[in-house]
Amino acid sequence: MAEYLFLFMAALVIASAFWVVFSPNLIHSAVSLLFTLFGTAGLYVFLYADFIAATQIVIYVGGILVLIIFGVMLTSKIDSPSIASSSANQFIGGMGAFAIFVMQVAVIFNTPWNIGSEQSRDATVGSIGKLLLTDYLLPFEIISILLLAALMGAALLSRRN
Amino acid sequence: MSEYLNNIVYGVKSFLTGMKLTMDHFRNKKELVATLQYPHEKWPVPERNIGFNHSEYNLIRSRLHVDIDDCIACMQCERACPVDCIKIDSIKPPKGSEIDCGMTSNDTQKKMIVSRFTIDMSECMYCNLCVFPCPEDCIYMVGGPNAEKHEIDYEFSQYKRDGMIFEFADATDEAIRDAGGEKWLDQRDVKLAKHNDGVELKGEVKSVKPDPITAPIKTDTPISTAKPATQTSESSGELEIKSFNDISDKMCRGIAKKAFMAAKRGGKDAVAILADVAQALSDAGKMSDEIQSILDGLSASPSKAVAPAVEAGGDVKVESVPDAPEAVEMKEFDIKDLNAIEDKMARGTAKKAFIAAKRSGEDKVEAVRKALTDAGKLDTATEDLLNSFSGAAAKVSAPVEAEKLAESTEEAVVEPVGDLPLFEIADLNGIDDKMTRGMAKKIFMAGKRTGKTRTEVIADLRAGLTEAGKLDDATNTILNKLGSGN
Amino acid sequence: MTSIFDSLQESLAFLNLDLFMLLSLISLLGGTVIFLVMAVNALVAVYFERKVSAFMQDRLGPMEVGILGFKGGKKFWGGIGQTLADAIKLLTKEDILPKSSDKFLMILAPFIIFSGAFLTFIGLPFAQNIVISDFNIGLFYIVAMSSVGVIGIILAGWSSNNKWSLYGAMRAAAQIISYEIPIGLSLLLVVIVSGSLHLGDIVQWQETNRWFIFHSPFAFLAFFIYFISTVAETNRTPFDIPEAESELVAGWMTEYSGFRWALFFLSEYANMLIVCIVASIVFLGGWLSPLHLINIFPESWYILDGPALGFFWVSLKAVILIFVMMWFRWTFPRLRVDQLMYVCWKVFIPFALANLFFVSLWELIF
Repeated sequence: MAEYLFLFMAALVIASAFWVVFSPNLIHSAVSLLFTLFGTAGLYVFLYADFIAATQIVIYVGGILVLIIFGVMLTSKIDSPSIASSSANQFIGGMGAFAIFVMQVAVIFNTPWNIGSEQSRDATVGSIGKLLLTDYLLPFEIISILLLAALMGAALLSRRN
Repeated sequence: MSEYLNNIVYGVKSFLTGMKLTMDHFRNKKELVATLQYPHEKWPVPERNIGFNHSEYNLIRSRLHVDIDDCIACMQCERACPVDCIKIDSIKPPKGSEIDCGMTSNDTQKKMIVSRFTIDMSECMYCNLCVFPCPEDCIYMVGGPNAEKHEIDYEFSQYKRDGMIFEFADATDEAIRDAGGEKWLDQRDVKLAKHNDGVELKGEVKSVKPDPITAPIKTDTPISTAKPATQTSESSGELEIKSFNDISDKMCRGIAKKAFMAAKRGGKDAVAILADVAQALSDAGKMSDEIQSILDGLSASPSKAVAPAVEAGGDVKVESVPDAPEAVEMKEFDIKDLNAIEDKMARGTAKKAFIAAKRSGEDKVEAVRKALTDAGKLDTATEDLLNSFSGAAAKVSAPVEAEKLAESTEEAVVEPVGDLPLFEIADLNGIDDKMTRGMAKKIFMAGKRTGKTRTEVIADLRAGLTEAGKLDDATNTILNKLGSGN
Repeated sequence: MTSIFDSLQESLAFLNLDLFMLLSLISLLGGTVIFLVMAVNALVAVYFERKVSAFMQDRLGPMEVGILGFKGGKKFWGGIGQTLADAIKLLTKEDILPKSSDKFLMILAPFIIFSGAFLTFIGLPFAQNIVISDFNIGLFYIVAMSSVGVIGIILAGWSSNNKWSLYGAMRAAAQIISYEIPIGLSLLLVVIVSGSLHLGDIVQWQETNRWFIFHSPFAFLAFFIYFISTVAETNRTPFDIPEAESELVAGWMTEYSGFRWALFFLSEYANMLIVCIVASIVFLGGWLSPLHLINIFPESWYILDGPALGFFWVSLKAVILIFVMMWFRWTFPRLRVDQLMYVCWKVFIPFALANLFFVSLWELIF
């Protein structure tokens, strides 16, 4: 059962990710990104990472994706329903993508994965919180400052003068 | 900062105020239900008079009615109708046949059977032209002067478009066939079949749509179906044709209604009418216990409601009628007529004076003449113009005064004669239930309009509320209090 | 941690199905339950809303349509069959897709919105242990899932290829994203105090201590911030600028009709129910009876907050909150866009942040 569900999720993620890249319509790309993100959240659930899955949805679906759609709509001709995307420099882009792909595959096969036993569905929230405020405090704060800077920059840009 | 906080405090305050307001309405202790559950509840007919003559009657709600028993199929009305909304078919019995077509109430021997008499009220333009040529006075607008013949319709709403076609002929198929109308019947049936096919093509449900042209003929009902189903009237105590709707048997109802109409036309009072109806029913051998009890119930509620005030008012109104047409024919003095004055200054002065006179209700011609004389602008042309109107104005004023007189007498009669003055509508707000309150207020308004006294209105309220099953103890107490003048 | 999902899995074990079949069966059952809840909720809430609005405007509301000839009383139950008739009408209506719309997205959008509401119900307890699946992170899951709908709204508005729809969608997106912040901050208060995202634990905390709304003045304020923000997030008057009838026809729903429009409607009322149930669980003691508030009742009365009545208490609190939402709707005129943003960014968020700070202090001190 679990394998089938996993395969389904993985297929969903990959297929929708392909469509994100190859769709001629930007909005359609954004929509299929929705399925990619949902599928990824499902994969997190398979790792018993409920909190990360929900975070994925809040941040990526509720935030980033909306931002992307807004961006697409506001930058292009908003009143035409077919915002077309064109592709250029296919060879260079393809080579770059291939390089990243090779790198990631290398990372996947060279990382020593901790394969744990099947755990109970205990809350991971507490431990994540503890880690964030102890071991990883500095990166956490740096990210916060980055976000703050982005926020202030956005506010500054949107002002008239 | 303080402005920011003040804004928040103000926001919360106005928020709470608004919430309280709507909650008060939600609980609705003080207010009425503002709407009317229309097909179930209706406002009383407004007493506007929109007719040929303003003092005449409420033509808007009138419709043509035919006393088909009196119709001799002379076709005068059909010919007179400018919009062809009247359609009459008649069958003349062959010579030598024994068929008696009946007598009219003017003692004219009828020579034909009226097989069809339809009036399409959606086409009728209320010109009244069909009424004048009728030799038997059997076609008339209901209401107004004919109020004693036929009450006024509440409204003309129908579920189907052809619901406005009223069929008045009451001849049965047998009667028509006896009179030699075979051919006519065949033609009618063909037409009917075509019509039904068309209806089916449109996908309409046949059973829901009783064809008003054929319904009376098919069902053998003499009169009742010729009237629109929505007919209602507000006067509760008065004896109406509607009162007989309680009779379940169709035939009996028809006979009762016929007798009622005949008696009513004869100007009899309620008791006599009921006696007539009972007589007619027992003659036809249809008198049953049920009908007897219904008739008893009707006679128990004698028609007090026939207010003398209405009659008095009506009489005075009639007096003023002869003057009116004459006045209309005469040229009336209008502000436009002053345009004939050539000099601009004089015209302006005249118009100003005219308007002032119109406002204060003085004699316009005199006012204009005076204003012009004062300004030294009165030349011979203007003089002539004014003279041509002074004659008319004098005549116009006469009927106006007569009308005013009529109105004043009417008012005098309408004034309540009772011991205590009529209580206020606000006094009914003590009634808790929304529906009951609405009903009570409606009854009150109806009573007030007909000029009833306090005791009468309270009696009406009691009767109306009991009938609706709404008279509880609390309401009763309120009514008692009102009755004792508190 | 028991839930309908788990207990069904146990009780259906006798069927000896393999896991795949069993899980599919359970999911199907759970989904049916959720759908029924949503449908019945929409039917009842629409009727309720029409009646409430009518009474607040001195009318009687629907009075004619009965169910199977039953035509209720003179007042409240007068038109009991009206919404059922409306629902049937909606489902039989012609479904229109504008010619130059993006048809794929236009068909997809209502289902995204619908599944946003639908998925939320999975983690939403109706009483103790009456929950489809009991998450550790229940509260966070609900917040996460309710943010899915906004994608559907944007897509619906954009794919209709209609200026009203697009304006409505933009407004809706801006509004929903903005108001998610005060909602999250207010709920964070509860999480800080109770130390758990699990809704059962939150109610447990309230049982041992007190209802969260009475935890401190700040929590009291947080409840109102949460509630008003949820009114905005469900796009209801006075925050209904995304569908503002007088300016935008029907906002992002303008081009929709028939079944798709019914889905929007269903999700809208489902969202209302969700936020009200969350409010009643998080702030108002969930399935605890109000008898706990005043300790004057004899011990034997506490049977009233037994497990069977948990459902009753939750629904009662939710219904009261829904009534208050309707009360808002028929009281206040619509806000301007700038007022809407002002209320969110300049009033609610500062106050919610201050709340967070003071509640942390409160927890340290007391």
